[in-house]
Amino acid sequence: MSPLPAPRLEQLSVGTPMPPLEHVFTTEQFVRYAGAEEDYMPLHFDHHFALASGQPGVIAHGWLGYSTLLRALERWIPPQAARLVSSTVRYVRPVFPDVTMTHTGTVTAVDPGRRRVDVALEAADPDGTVRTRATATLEFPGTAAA
Amino acid sequence: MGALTDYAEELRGHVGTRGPEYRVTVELGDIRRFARAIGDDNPLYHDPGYAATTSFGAVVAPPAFVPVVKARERPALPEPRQPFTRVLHAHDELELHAPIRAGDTVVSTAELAAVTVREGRAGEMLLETLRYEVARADGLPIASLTWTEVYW
Repeated sequence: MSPLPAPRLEQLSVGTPMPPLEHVFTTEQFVRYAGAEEDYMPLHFDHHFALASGQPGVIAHGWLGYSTLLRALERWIPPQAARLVSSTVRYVRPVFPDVTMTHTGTVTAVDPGRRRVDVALEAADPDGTVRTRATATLEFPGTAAA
Repeated sequence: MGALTDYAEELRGHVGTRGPEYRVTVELGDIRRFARAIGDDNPLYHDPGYAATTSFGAVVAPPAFVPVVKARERPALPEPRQPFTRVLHAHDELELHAPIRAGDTVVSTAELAAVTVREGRAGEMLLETLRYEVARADGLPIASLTWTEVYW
């Protein structure tokens, strides 16, 4: 849950930053996620399989990285405050365990009529290399000016 | 060059082919387990007592839960003559119409939506996009998910 009250639509404008979320993925979390999604692709927990697949080791499920970006967004603006209506994600580079990833976001558009905001999200390494990139459109309740 | 382009052309003839319907009842425990796995402690995803006091009225699944209920079987499609050795997830698009509530029975199907060939560092790669439609058993649309993987 958000430690602060969620912002209202009127408090958001292009460029408003999302509070960043730092997260260290672990192989244990990959296993938990595999069980929760029932996706047992060995690339996410079998080191030898990962090496044979051309990776330096196991990597996160794409949707675990994506889920974490959406968690960062919902920590700021939870579903109780605004509904996620659409989202896109691009798995730019693999996400590895035991690295502190920083999840950031910025408002890119505000549509007061439809009570919607677009947010661009990204997850980056300590050196700033972006590994997951996403967009999200949130719709705030209430009636549009009509 | 050649074989992959031919296979892509063959697959394109199957765009629109749908796989079998997948039907599953989402239990409170499924949602909690998923929320714990992604580290989300919003009580809306855990606590029926709390959720009952919100406009949702019940525990709902986080938006990223959609892949948990997506159809398990792909559409029946021709296999490549030369099997691919590598696959990676490239990009996805999610449209959400209604939340999944604990206790909902949902149905999902997968459909081949697009096939493209791209030149990558490792040579030619095939991008395959499946589109999943997810609805509640009573017909209420829940989500559309397009899921693109790259094969080479």
